[in-house]
Amino acid sequence: MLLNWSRIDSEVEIFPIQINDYFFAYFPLKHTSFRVTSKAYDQLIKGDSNVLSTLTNKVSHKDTIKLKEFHPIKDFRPHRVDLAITTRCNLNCVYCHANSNEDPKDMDQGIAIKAVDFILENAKEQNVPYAQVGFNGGGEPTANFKLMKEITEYSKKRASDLGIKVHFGMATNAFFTEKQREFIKDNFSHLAISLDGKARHHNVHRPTIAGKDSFDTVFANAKYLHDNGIKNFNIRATISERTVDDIGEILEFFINEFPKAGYSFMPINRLGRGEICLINPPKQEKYIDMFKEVLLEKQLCQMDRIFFMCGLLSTVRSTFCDAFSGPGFNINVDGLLAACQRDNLPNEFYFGQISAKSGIKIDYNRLNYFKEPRIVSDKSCCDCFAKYHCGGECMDLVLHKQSRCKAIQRWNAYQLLDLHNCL
Amino acid sequence: MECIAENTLVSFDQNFIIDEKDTGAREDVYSGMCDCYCKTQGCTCDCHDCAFWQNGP
Repeated sequence: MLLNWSRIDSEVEIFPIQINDYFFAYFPLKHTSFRVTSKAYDQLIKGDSNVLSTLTNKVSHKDTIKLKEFHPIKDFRPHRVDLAITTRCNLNCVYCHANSNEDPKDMDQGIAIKAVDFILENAKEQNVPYAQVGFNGGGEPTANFKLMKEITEYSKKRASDLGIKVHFGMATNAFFTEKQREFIKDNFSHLAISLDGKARHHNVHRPTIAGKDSFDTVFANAKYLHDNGIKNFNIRATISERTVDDIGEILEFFINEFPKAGYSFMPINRLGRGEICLINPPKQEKYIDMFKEVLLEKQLCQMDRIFFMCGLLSTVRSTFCDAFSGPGFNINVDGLLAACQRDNLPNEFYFGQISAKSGIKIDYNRLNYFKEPRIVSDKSCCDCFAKYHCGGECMDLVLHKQSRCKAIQRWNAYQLLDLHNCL
Repeated sequence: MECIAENTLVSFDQNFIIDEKDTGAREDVYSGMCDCYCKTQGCTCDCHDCAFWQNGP
């Protein structure tokens, strides 16, 4: 595949794109793509005013998508928190980006209560429908089940006293007991469960700390929670070079076993244990080509039920996620406030501290560090035709110099070919 | 001369565009969809007018 593009400055952004033997003039903010002749493409690259004016005239009557305006935050009053209540884990996943169990510790209960009080009072003041308490980051939340249960019960009681609603969410490995499973079923509305496919995929990636298989327990718990009313249920699979060929099989397995779920896929990142992991990430081209096959050619799944990092032509977004545009209110095990739930974050992600004694301290300069969307401010994004669909890529990976731009461009190019029936 | 130029332009327009497609995008949507967690959480932004806060999860 050959991709060439460049931006021609005009009132409306236009990207001349060559993909194999096909040529396009793409106006992302005019939500229009033209397939053009090779001669017109060459003229466009050279800045031919006839071709340019003809194309721009053709889209002039269409609404221009306006990017959201970003204003610096002066008074940070979130009504959602994500707590990393432990760095311990009962699994020993080969690629764990969080390096779980390397430095085992639990969050102080006072920190968690301070954070919950803060978001519930904010929700009350702002009269929002509900606040949300999440357990995510560090290790496996249920490895500190005692604190998870205490904070859940405390949040419900405090919310009731304030006359507001609170919902609970968690990212979990689902390697827990039936008793814990019941508590989760009765209290949680949002779950993201890590399951890397069928037993032969999952067990290679995600052994227990004793080195045993985890699939049977994880699958049974995931199935039970899915079938028993968890409303926002997501299955998340990490893909390696050993499983990339089976992406279609894994997706079909998920669709059959968890028909009401959303499905997330992610290649191994070279972070934490993933940096030294003997199981390699998949080749990016292979990873994307598998999704081309299962989504664009076989159409196994609706696009809005699956996420695998790359975005859609039908969706314009000026930021990748809410880490900075939101920003997230995530608290690590030591009480540091972070814009993202991940671990081993770059320093730029931390914007304050919370403690049981001195309360919450926020560094607004840091909090607003990334407020200007990267697709506007970063030179490497400016000339990329896919920028409005990926939103500037995950800043954690960008700052770790692991951005996946070529893969994202490849996926968006496939979508463009598909749109024009050229696949 | 002007008439010829106009005709030339119209003829050129008709020839160099093979196909025109609408992508379906209409607005800058909130991107609560990072790899690991946000999609499950639904929209997590702090605005009060989005569907997440209007309708709940």
